[in-house]
Amino acid sequence: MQKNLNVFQRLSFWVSSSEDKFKWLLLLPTIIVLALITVYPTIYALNLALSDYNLARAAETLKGYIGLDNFRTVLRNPQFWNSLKVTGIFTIVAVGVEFFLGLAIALILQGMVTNKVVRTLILLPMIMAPIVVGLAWTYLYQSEFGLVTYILRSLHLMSYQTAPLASVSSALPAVIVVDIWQWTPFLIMVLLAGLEALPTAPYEAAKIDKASPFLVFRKITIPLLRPVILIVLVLRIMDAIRVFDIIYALTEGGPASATDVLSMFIYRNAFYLWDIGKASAISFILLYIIMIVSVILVNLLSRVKEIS
Amino acid sequence: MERNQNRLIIAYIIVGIVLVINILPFLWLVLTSLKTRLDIFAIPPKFIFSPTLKNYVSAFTKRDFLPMFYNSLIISISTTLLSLVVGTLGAYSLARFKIFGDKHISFWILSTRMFPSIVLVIPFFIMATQMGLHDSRFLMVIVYTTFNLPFVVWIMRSFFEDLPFDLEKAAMVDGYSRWDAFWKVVLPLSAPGLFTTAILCFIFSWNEFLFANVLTAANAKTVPVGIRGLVTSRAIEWGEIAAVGTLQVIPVLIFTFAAQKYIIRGLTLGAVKG
Repeated sequence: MQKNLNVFQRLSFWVSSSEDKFKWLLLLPTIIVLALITVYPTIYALNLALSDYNLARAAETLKGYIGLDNFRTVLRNPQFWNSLKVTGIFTIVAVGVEFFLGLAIALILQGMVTNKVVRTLILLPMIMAPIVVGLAWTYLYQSEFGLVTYILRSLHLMSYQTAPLASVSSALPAVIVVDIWQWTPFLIMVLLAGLEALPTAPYEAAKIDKASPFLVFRKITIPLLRPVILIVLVLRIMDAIRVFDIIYALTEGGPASATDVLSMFIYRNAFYLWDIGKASAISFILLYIIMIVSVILVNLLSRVKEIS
Repeated sequence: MERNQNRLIIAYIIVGIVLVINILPFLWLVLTSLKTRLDIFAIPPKFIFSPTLKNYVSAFTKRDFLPMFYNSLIISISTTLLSLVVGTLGAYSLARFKIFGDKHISFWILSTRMFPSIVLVIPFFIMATQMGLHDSRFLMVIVYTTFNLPFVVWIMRSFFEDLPFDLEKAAMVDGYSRWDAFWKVVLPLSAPGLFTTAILCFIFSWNEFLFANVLTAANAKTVPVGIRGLVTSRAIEWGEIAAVGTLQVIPVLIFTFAAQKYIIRGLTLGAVKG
């Protein structure tokens, strides 16, 4: 081997000697780094979930390994079931509204959003930090001088005794509105991209057959768009199940646990009550839920891909 | 013809409404940042007032936001570079070669991207405390790589798959090594993809709150944590929140404008080619 080669030349000499070595050499750093920073912490967390680990109690009172006790305690806790319910409602309502609004607006805007500035402005909510979004809306919802509160009161939609985030009945809808505000543009842009990439031939055929617009939409647009719809729903559902930042900024789970989503519930157990063991156990339940939902959705996705 | 024109008018009205609703909360944030304390608490809320920069000044003199912006910048750039270097190689390997179990490897990488932060933040908190890494920028770079690295692999794989394999074949016929074909031919052609990926990694890290809130205290505190820190049990500093919030969003807005061609593709992990 020549002596005065730089690092890249040496590397390339070595790696080009075998295709097999080359592909693994490129992939291994990713696998090793990911294993170290995600797999190892997950195993560590499982260990915590199976232990009596509470930073608020003296070390000598802790029992160490306790098997599935944390899981049993959690499943008996009505607060947990409340969080599960809140997370479910939040996910279904928010993603549902975002999808139908997004689809309707995307259909109207087809071929119109070409201006760079307009595109950027549509993208604005989803690229803002969720914590900033949460705080900006906390201010809009503020009980005395909030702009949204003021508008709602002017329209006699809300009394002076209450405010959007102050009452148990309106807090969850108010939080959901923020999520809808932040993520509907995402649905619009993704569905627009999907619509604009559709083949034109089926539409021309439908024109010749004088098919009604509704029939065209139902029989051509929706089936062709289905892969894109599923992908965007998977992404949104995953994000909605693990929502944290906007809840933390808007309500911290209150009032009276009305917006206490699972991530918030775990956070409180871990970093307010310092019950690390129990918090880890709940976080594993959240992980299972996400895994099950994702497996169902991914199966649905691959089946759709086979059909189309 | 008449009907088409009506449809166009309605469409423009809807674009207008969507844009107003989209922008209003941010616009309100910017307006609030320019208000005096008196104007902030005004009922009814004021749209017209004499602007002041007092909130911006006090955020940097009274509140020490300069080191936080520095931390956010260093952490975001470092994790972006780390994820790009490691992830691009992995992505190329997955895009170009048949690997035993590559479907499983890809799916595993994607699944780490879907991991909820709240699951990882607890073990990271305990481990970091034991190792003395709590509240360090190094720790934050590592933690942010947990979501940036799988992102880079997925999105760059999709960009590499767009390029025909013949490119590398031709290069190798011309005497390029396997590595040179990647480094000197494929990579330059993927520059727009790399650029978008880098920008999105930066934005994800720049905006991240949960990990930073738990894992930093004073030294490595980032801007999002600092902004939330202005909400205390005694008072909420709305003016300063708005000022720092505005400054936090502006770079993201500029980056988005620059990279918007592929941003939807990036945010759908390469699945939707907008």
